[in-house]
Formats: sequence, C-alpha cells, structure tokens
Amino acid sequence: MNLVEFMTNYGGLLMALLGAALATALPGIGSAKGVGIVGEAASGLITEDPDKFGQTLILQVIPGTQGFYGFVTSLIILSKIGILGGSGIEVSVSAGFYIFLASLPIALAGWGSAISQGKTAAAGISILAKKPEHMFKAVLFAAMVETYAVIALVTSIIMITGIQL
Amino acid sequence: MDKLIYTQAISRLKVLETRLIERTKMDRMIDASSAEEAMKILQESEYSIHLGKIKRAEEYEVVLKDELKRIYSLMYEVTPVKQLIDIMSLRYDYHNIKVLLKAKELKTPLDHLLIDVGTIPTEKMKVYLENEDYTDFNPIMREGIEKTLIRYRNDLDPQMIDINLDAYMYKHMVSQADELGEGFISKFLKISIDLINLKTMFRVKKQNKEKDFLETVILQGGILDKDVFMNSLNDSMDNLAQKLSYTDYYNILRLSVEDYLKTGKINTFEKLSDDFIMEYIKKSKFMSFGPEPLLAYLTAKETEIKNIRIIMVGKLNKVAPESIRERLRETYV
Amino acid sequence: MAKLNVNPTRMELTTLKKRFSTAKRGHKLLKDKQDELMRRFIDMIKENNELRKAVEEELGASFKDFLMASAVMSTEYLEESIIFPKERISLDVKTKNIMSVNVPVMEFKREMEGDEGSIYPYGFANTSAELDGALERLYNVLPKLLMLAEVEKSCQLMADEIEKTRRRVNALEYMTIPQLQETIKYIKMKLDENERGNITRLMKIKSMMQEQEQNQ
Repeated sequence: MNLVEFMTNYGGLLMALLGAALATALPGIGSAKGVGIVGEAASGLITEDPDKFGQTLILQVIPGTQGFYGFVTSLIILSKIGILGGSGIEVSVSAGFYIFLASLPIALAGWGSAISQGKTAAAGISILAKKPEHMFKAVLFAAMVETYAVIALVTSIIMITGIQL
Repeated sequence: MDKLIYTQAISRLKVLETRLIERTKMDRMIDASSAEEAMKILQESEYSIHLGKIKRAEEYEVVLKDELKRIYSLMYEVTPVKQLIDIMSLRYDYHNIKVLLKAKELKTPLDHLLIDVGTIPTEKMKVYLENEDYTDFNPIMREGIEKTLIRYRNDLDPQMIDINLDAYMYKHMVSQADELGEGFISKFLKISIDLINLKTMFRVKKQNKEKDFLETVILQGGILDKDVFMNSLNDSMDNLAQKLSYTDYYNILRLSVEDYLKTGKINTFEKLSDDFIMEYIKKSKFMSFGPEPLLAYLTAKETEIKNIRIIMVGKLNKVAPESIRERLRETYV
Repeated sequence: MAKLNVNPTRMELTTLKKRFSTAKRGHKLLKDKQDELMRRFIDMIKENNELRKAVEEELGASFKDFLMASAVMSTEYLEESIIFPKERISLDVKTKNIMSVNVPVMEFKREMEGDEGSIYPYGFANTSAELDGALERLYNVLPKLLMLAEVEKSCQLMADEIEKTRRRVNALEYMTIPQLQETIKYIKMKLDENERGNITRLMKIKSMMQEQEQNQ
C-alpha cells in the first residue's frame, strides 16, 4: 500500500479525527492558560485577603468555558463520523477535509479567546481587590470575550452539521 | 520578558494599595491637635504594627525605618524578578557605602546611620569595606568605590565621596534597568535623573560654582543631554525655563521659577518634581500585567513615608498646617 | 561702730591719720572707676541685647529651614550628608583691656576663603535644596554669633569687675573710713583726756606744793 492508496482509504477519517483532536486540544490549552493566569492573580489576592475566595473562583472559572466548547465540538464530530456510539461510517477524503475545516473556528478562536479572557479576568481581580462591590462589572468584562468563543462554537457546529457524508 | 509572571504579585499589591494612607487621612493628621493625635491616626493604618515599639511621638523615625524595612522585605518576597527591586534598593547600598567610607576617614563609628534595606546586608558590607575586599560586588559598584577612594585621597574633599558615589549609583541603576529591558522602568530612571539634574543646576547656580564643578555633579543617562545643562549655567532661571519649553518639564519649571523669584527657594521645584514622578507612576494604576505596578507600589510607599515624616516633623515643631500642606507630596491613592 | 583695737598713742594717731587720707582718696578713685565701668557696661548691655535679638532671629530662621530639610530627608540621609565637613574654620582669641578688665576678642578664619560652595560638604542627588538654605543661613549668622559670644563674655567679666569694685567702695565707705574716723576720734579723746588729767594732776601737785610751803 503506497501513500496515495493509504490516503484514499483512510484520509477522510484521519482528517476528521485531526479536526476533533484540535477542537479539544487548542481551546483546552487556551483555557488552561487562562484559568492559570486568573488563578495566579487570585492567589496573590487571597494571600492578603482570604475572605474573597468565593468571588475569585467565579472569575477563575470564566476562561474555562472555551475548553468545554471545544470538547462539545469534538463530541459532535465524533458522533457524526460514527466513532461515538456505533458503527464506524466510511468517511470520504473530501468529507474528512470539510470536517477538519469546520473544527477550525472553535479550535483557534477558543484558544486565543481563552487566554485573552484569562487576562481580562486576572485584571478583574484588581477590581475585586480595590472595589469588591463592583466585582460583577469585572465578570461582565470577561464575559464580553466569551461572545467570540460562542460565535466560533456556533459556526463550527453549523458547519459540521451541514456537511453531507 | 513575559509580562504575565507578575500577575500574582500585582493582585497582591492591589490589595495592599487599598491600605495605603489616602490624602484625606493625611489631612486629618495635619489638622490633628498634637503630634500624639496625629500618631493615633496612624494607628488605623499599616503602621500600627510598629507603633507598639515606641512610647512618644518623637520616636516616629523608628516607625518609619521599620516600615521601610518591612516594605522592602515584602517586595522581595512578592516579586518574581529580584533585579526589579534591586534597582530601587541599590540607593540604600550606596548610602551605606558613603556612611562607611566617611566613618573610615573620620575614624568614628557611624553605624547608626546605616539603613539595612540594600541588596548587600550592612554587616557584610561593613566587613567588605573594612578589608577593602570588593570581589563580591557588582563591577560598577566596585569601580565606584575604588575611584571614589582614589579621588578622595587625592584632594581630601569629602564632598567628592558623595558626588562620585551618586554618579556611580545612577549608572548602576540604569545598567540594571537596561538589563531588565523594561521601558517603563528605564524611563522612570531617566525622568528621575533629569529632575535631579535640574535641581542640581539650580543649586549650583545659587552657590555660584563654576562650570567645571557643574560638570562633575550632573548625572549621565537622563533624557536631557549634559550639554543642555552645561550651556545654560549662566542663563537666568527664566531663560532656562524657556529653553526647556519643548520638554515635559516645562510646566513644573515655570511654576517653580515663579516661586523662586518670589521666595528665593527651590523647594517648590522639589515638591513638583516628586509630584511629576508620582504622576508618571500613576499610569501603572491601570496596568494589570508587567512590572510597573511593583515599582509604583514601592514608590507610593516611599512617598507615603516621606509624607508622614513631613507631617510628624511639622506637628512636633508646631508648624502651621498650611506650611505642612504646601510641602506634602502627591499621594498615590 | 567698732573702733580698731589700737593703743591710743600719738604715733598711732599719725599712722591712722595717714591711713584715713589714703582710704578717702582710694574711695574717690574707686567710685570714679565704678561710674565709668557702669557707663560702659550699660552701653555694652544695649549692644548685647540688639545682637542677641538679631542672632536669635536668624538662628530661628535657620533652624526652621533645617527643620524642613529634616522633614523631606530621612535622618540617616541628613546626618550622612553633613557629618564630614569640608571646610575648617579656625578661631583666634585675643584679649583687650577695658578699664583693667581683660575681655576676649575673637577672630575666625575660613580655610577656603572665597569658595562659596565650600560650606556644603555633600552631593546633590540625595539631598534637599532646603538643606542648602539652612546651611547658608547658619553660615551667615556665624560672624554675628561670634560677636555675640564676645560681647556677652565681656559683659559678664565687666559685671564681675563692677561687683568687685562696688564691694571695695562699700567696704571703704561703710567700714574702713568710719572705723578710722572713730578710732582717730577715740585716740584724740583719749589723748585729750590724758592731757586734762595731766593738767589736773599738775595743778593738784602745784597746790599741794604751795600748801607745804605755807606750812613750813
């Protein structure tokens, strides 16, 4: 079996799986980074003011959503190509490429937005430190970044569901 | 360098910033009926932990010294980059070197003048200088000490000890800042150097010294070139302000020259230059990443200590509240 | 008034009379000296008062400047700046004679005459300009301060001298002179009485002798 044969036989599945993997991995990395940044900022705050633990936790969770969105996208891809819950559908090379491309919006936007959101939330920790009564505004600022992750997620889902196998 | 490494330090400092003494509290201290009353207001602040040590308001220096030490050890604990704090604490190293060199030449112990917040502990510094063993020192510091000693032994002029070491101190600080590669900090130093040079120039003019002398005391490394100062020694104050109208300092120069012509004193310029630096530092209030807030907190704290000293000296000597307020530096919060 | 314990002889009377006239002359001289000393002393006190006021005012102002310098600099920085003076000032003390009182005359000399900056022994970067002002004021008050020390010491010495002179004058006026007067009077009286006694005795002897002659 040469490379061309291999690609024609398994290429579709390969690309679809790559897409699914990226959809989970990149936003996951981003979220981990984002949550990490907020966590660091929060631990600085807690050193001086341990009572604010609950509020810092809310801020810390926010950049975590992208990872979750990526995970959802992966699940949809996996069920579409039949790896999840069944009988392994034959995926043509072109369809594999479609799925791979469809996974990109959430993979890239999720990755970037999670880090940005992490920074925004970490900056929000400063608001929590100085004016705890305005903490909710910090949450709103961070949530604004979420918009683009959601848009990316919706785009990815529409694309995936629209693909004919 | 990665700005994110400062995240934890910054949010910790943001909490500490809320504990700085704000202007209204300072005003209350100024309006207090006595020094003791003013001290009581300090009780409500971070300074309360040191207040147990002293019995009378006259001992306020002990409190301020302890607070300075506390702040530096806190900053060293908080900062992810030691060099950043080193830049600021170098000033105390050079102060200690000056004290020790002078003590050596005068053959009297001056240990009570040492400030133990430098990068080198005072005990170690004492041993090093006694044995003239500078191997552990930074090359710039080492060169500074050696050159100073040569210079001093040449003409036995104690003023040269200060002048020489001041020059090396800023050289050292600038080189550390360059190594760190943070524009904000480099600019902070540049502004400080410029303002010191301007002040020096006013003072040299007032003392009727010559150009040669001015050349030795002007610090290198500011935004304004040395020649600017050298060429304007003979100008009137007014002209000097006009000459520098293209710089950021024009405003404070103009105001201080106005005051100088009225009172013959330079203290307005001193206050305004401290305020100028504070304005610059305040930019970092809105930065959530990077080393700026660390530098800002340290400066804010040092200014606060200075302000408390101004208030306490004023209160203990029954200086009029307006007179104290006039000298009070802009606060960070 | 007590009289001196002396023998009422004619020789003693002559010495006492001599002493009396010396005492009177001394008293007059001392009295004159006292008056002159007083006059000078009053002048000097006036000068002293004026100087003191001026010096106190200037020192007060300098102290205030210093205070403000110590307000904007920490003690350690301030002390470090001025602990090693650049300039040396030598002080020459001579004495001057006013009415036999040796008063001091002070003269000071700066080693670095003509260099106005030499009174500032510190660098510029870490010191406040307020310190310059304080030192300048302090330095400018120095000549007056020395003059004040001079005048004040002179006043003290003169006051001592006046006191001493007055004590002497009083001793002469209220002790020596009355005593001498009394004693002279006493000796005179004693001598007169002796004379009278002698005459009476002689008269008695004469009458006794006449009686004897008649009886023979």
